[in-house]
Amino acid sequence: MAFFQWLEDTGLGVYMREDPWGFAIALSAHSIGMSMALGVVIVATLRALNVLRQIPLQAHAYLYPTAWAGFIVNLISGLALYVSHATEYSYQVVFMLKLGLIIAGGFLFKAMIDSARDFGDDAGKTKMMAALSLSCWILAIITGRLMAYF
Amino acid sequence: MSDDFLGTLADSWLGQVANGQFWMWPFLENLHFIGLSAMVGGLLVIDLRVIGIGPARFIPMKPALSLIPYLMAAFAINLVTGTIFFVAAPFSYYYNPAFQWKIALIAIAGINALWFWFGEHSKLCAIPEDEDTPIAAKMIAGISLVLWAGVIILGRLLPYF
Repeated sequence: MAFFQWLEDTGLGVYMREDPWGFAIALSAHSIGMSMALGVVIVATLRALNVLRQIPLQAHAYLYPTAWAGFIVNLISGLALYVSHATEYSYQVVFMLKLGLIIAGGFLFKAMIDSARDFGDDAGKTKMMAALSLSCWILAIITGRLMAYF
Repeated sequence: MSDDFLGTLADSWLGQVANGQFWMWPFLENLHFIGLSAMVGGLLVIDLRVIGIGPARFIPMKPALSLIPYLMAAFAINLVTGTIFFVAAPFSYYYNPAFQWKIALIAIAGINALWFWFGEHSKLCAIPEDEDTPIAAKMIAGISLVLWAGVIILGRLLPYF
């Protein structure tokens, strides 16, 4: 598509391909952002699932700004990575899956928080949403890593 | 380590297993990524709580510190998968400056963690929830976050060196 080609030809797309450090810096930022967002998601969902028990589930909300900061770092670095190879990534199945999993994982995490507020930490729905959200986010890591193989 | 020894590692049973199946390497990489994310979750809870800035200061201290075994378990996943990477492809790691720095930072982070455990842990368990944490503990926690961020970045940059 002409639009994907246009994205690749933007200043950012050209820089990301031509400067040997462009891609490396974006990848580094992307791994830091991943660890911040996923770290909080994993700890909170494992708490909801009673794998971790000590910290009250609600207290994890104090870390949500950190998770959002990681998410924004990855939105920006991810956009830079995408633009550099837009004509390839736009047709890559694992990349499409990854985007879908991130969106699903985010909404399911929100559903976990809402369920904990409305029905309690131990409600079946809270645990179900935690398990589904965690699965989506883990699969998002996996599909992201597998982009290098497809 | 001599090149002979590195060669022996690559030819070992473990090296053969890791290189044997096409899916084994990406499988181990995925475990390594999941382990690192899980570990950072624990680090963020503990270190941000101890530093005491931002909303994380409201997390109760003792429950936060109770994540230490979880943190160690996540680190163990990455120690095991990382060791397999090294054994399976020792020559691409041993002479790689990014790898050498990564290992050095992990070693320093380990000493830093021991300092935390033996120097500050019991003090932190004893102070009241609304009291500020000792400056040494804040320093250790800050150093920990910086070191582990460095470890992640160096790991991600391994293929570039």
